Amino acid sequence: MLGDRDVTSLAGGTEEREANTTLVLEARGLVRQFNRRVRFGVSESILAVDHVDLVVRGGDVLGIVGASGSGKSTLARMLTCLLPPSAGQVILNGRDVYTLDKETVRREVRPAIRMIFQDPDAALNPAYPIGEGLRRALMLGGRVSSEHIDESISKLLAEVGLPSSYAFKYPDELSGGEKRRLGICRALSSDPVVIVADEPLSGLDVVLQERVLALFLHEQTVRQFALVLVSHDLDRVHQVCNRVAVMFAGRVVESAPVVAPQLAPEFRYRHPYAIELAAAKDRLHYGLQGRSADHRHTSEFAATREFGTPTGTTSRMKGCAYRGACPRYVRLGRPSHCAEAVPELTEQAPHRSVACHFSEAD
Amino acid sequence: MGAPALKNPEPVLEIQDLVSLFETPAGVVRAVDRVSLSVQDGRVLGIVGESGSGKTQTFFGVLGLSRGTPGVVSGRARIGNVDVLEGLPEHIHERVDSDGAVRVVKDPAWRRLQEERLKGVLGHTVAILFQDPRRSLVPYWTIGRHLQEVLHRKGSAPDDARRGRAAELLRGLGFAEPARVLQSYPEQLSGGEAQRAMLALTMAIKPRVLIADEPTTGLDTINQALALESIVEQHERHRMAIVLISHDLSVIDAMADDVLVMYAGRVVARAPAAVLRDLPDEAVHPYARELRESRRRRTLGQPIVAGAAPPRPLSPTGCAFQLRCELRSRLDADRQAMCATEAPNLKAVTEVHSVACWGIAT
Amino acid sequence: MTKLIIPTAFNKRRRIPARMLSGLVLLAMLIAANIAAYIFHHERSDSYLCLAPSHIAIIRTALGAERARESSDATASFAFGFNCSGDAGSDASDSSARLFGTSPAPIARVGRPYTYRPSLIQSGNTDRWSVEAIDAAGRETGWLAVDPQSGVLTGTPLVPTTLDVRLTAKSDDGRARLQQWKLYVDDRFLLLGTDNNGRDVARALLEAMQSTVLPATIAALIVLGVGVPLGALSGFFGGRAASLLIAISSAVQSIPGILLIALAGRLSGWNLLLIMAAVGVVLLPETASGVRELVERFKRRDFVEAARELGMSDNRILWDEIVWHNGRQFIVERVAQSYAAAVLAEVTLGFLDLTDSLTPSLGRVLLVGREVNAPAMLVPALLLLLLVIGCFSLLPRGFAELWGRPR
Repeated sequence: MLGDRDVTSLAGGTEEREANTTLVLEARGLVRQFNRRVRFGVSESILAVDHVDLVVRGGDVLGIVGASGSGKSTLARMLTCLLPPSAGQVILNGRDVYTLDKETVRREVRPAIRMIFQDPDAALNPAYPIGEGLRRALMLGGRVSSEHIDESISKLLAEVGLPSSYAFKYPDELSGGEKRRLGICRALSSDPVVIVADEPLSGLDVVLQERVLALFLHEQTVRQFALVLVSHDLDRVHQVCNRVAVMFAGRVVESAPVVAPQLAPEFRYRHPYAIELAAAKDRLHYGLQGRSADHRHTSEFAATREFGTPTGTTSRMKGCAYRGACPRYVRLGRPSHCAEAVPELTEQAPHRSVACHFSEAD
Repeated sequence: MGAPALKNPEPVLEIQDLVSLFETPAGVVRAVDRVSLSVQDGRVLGIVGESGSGKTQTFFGVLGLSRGTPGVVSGRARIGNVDVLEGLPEHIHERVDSDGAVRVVKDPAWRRLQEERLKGVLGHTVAILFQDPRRSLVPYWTIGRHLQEVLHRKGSAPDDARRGRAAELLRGLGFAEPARVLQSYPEQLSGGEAQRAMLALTMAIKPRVLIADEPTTGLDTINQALALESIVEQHERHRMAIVLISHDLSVIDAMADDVLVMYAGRVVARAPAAVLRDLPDEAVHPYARELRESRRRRTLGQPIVAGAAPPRPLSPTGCAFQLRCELRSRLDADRQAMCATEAPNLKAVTEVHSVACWGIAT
Repeated sequence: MTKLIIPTAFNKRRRIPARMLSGLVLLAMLIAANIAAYIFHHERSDSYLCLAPSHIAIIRTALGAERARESSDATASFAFGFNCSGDAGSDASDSSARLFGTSPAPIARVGRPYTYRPSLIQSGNTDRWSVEAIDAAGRETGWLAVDPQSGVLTGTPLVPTTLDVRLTAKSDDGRARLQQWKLYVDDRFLLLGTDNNGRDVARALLEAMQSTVLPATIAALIVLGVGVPLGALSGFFGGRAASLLIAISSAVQSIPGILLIALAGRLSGWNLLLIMAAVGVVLLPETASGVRELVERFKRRDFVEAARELGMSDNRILWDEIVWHNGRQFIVERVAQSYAAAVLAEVTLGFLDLTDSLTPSLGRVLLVGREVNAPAMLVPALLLLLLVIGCFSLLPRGFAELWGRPR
């Protein structure tokens, strides 16, 4: 369909993104296990992230999409060196960040991989004005000398559209949108190589969402960082990202380049979950029909869906976690292969990987 | 959503000239600025606006759920046949500060009065679906317990019949395994499931009007669709009135009969949903136009263009929207001056469509 | 509103709040008092002492019991608890029997009338009184006169001098009883006058300030230097050491503080410094718990993780982000509180005559003032106490205003 043209060069954004092959950040086999007390004396272990591999290249805007409980926030934390994985590696510039000593991490890793938190209040100490907070960020980022700090604070604020008088304001005087922009400010302060934004659009209205995304893109062209956008909102991901990884129950079930519809209208997802996500998106946009037979079918399965939620996953569930809600599984007559073997992420087309034993053609 | 001929033309919820003030560290904010609306039995009223537009505070203030001071300071509100704000003027005083500023103060005794008045209303005539269901449910009660409480209060049949009724409610909302859900705690459910569980609770109340505050925000597309479909189905089955509050026009569009657009605490446009959908761009309020365009872009997956964020201070006098308003620049000097000095009031364009804008012929 | 301004972050100028200023003024006064006490300490300290090595000193406790103690150290800084007297009054024939029931004041002031009303233990109506006052040069002075019938001494000295005074009572049956003492006449200018024994009240108070307020610093330092780090570290790092500390501190807190302090005093021989240390130890657990809770509460907040994300070290997060920015008000209040508590503890113990009588302190001033019924001592002492307490109440509030948001 798309020929030999490198798909990564087609993406959101009117400028063609350079097919940039420098590997910036890589995650290999990331696993994160939690133990949860079910009741007295009994605990279960939950795999929040189940053997995830990711690759982030220079100039990428990578979207990680999944429902709440799919493990995307946990993954984001592991990528930014805030949560050590139970297994696996996060590799920056050829070194696994979790094997480095504290000092090196603080001096070299932290300024390079930055996180924008889901909760905009998170990064702000309520006890001092936000200018003070930015000053710390700048000093710890190590790019600015102390004489130029005040200047840099004003410049940073201006970049995200906040007047420099805001430096004197306390966090509780800012609106939600302003706090989000401050989070971006903070992440930019150390001139990072990768920014991981965890649900940066939650709590913003539609207009503001667009502006924030536009700001991200603008900053990216100016400062040249790779952006990892973690979101549940498939639409927005399609509007800004050049690659998307769809997560379900702690695993990446599909990894695909994002193509603008006008350039490749036949673009379809291949994993059943991703297909359903896209279909639901269309349903919302083109009108809810109420319960048709098909819908009821899907809804029922959706209702039984426990996997990927805190109750659901137990350590390495046997077989495919999605089969409880998978229409393809039903359509194919519930093949036993799905119940026995966990599907691995396999490359089915250039830059396109899917984790399913079967395909639409079956 | 085609409602049948109205059996009861008397509105089930009516608000007139509501004003709500909040004291914040940044000054006194007019969160709700003379808002009037009415909801008929069986109709769905959609309220769209960004965060801070007053769309939520309008209802929260009337229902005694708002936590700011002083809160609702004037206006009238009727729910069912209860005048909820009766006697408010006697409890509002003006006080001169030590700096000479005039502050509006409300008697703390008012709160008790309001609670008294709302006793028969909240949880009987009115049910509320909150934005984050897991936070509005009691964390150490199972869903079953929640439903028991409500059903017990509504005085329906003995225990076992109640359990049956609870399961029935859950089944009606797309849960294929009600027993499991009944035994679960709120944190064990995914976001979408919790939202539907909350919906089950509100259905158990059998209200005359349901207020759904951002019911789909934060949910992935699948769960969004499911939640909305459930609401639609409940509405079709029980014919209760619904107030749907959202910042996402798609959500409003999918369900509402009538739409109210709010900005900066005021109603800026009022029209039936079909009318708002079909009217050409020049005929709708510039903010509504912005929302429609944003929605279009999103539906089509149109890539977001990188752009730096300009600062957007709120204009102190005149129309709150003027600094964002694209229409304004195309108006003649006289009318531009009006935008700057006086905030426009809601005026009828046609019998069903009203708009608050100097730039639209009324 | 004061015009004084101090710069803070981003060159935003702030004014010192009124409360803060008042507190600072009071603090300055206290410090000045301490410095003055230190300076005057080295002057002639015997100008208001009434002791000579041979004097017998009587200590009266608040409970009225009487003990005799011999003072051996005439140059002791301020042997305050002593009621000085000359010989206890003896029978010319039997010097060991105590015959006079009162003691004369050993200090007279130039230009002020001096009075002494003696009372004999075994008095007869026909006692005839006579007095002899001989100065250093051996001459007899004339200003001191006695009423032959009642024995009341009166007179107004005009010149500073030292006199040997001998008061004799002759009864009909030939028995003679006499009382001897050294009378110091001086012309000092005394701000607050003297007590009925001629001791300089202002000086006494100064000395008391020094011995009350300065040692209280020990208590405050213990609370600040031990309690705060203990609480902060256990709150932040948790672990078993923390749980142990919590258990110990709860145990200590459950014992009434005043008992612990009294016990410490007894064991240390009523050494004021050690008593202050005990006060500090008693107040420690409360502060440590408070700080621990505060740190725990803030540790859970997201901005701590965000601070780590910035690259902040745990140390900096604990001390800078949490303790300094969010906990400083609490700590200031606690330190001020422990200061006030230490001062009050000393006053209580001193007033109950439980402290070392050789060390002057506010409590002992109040004790003696009450004993000898001298409003001239009590009123200034109480005012001074109010000054101290007031200072430590105003300062934390002043800090709150200073560190709070600019309006």
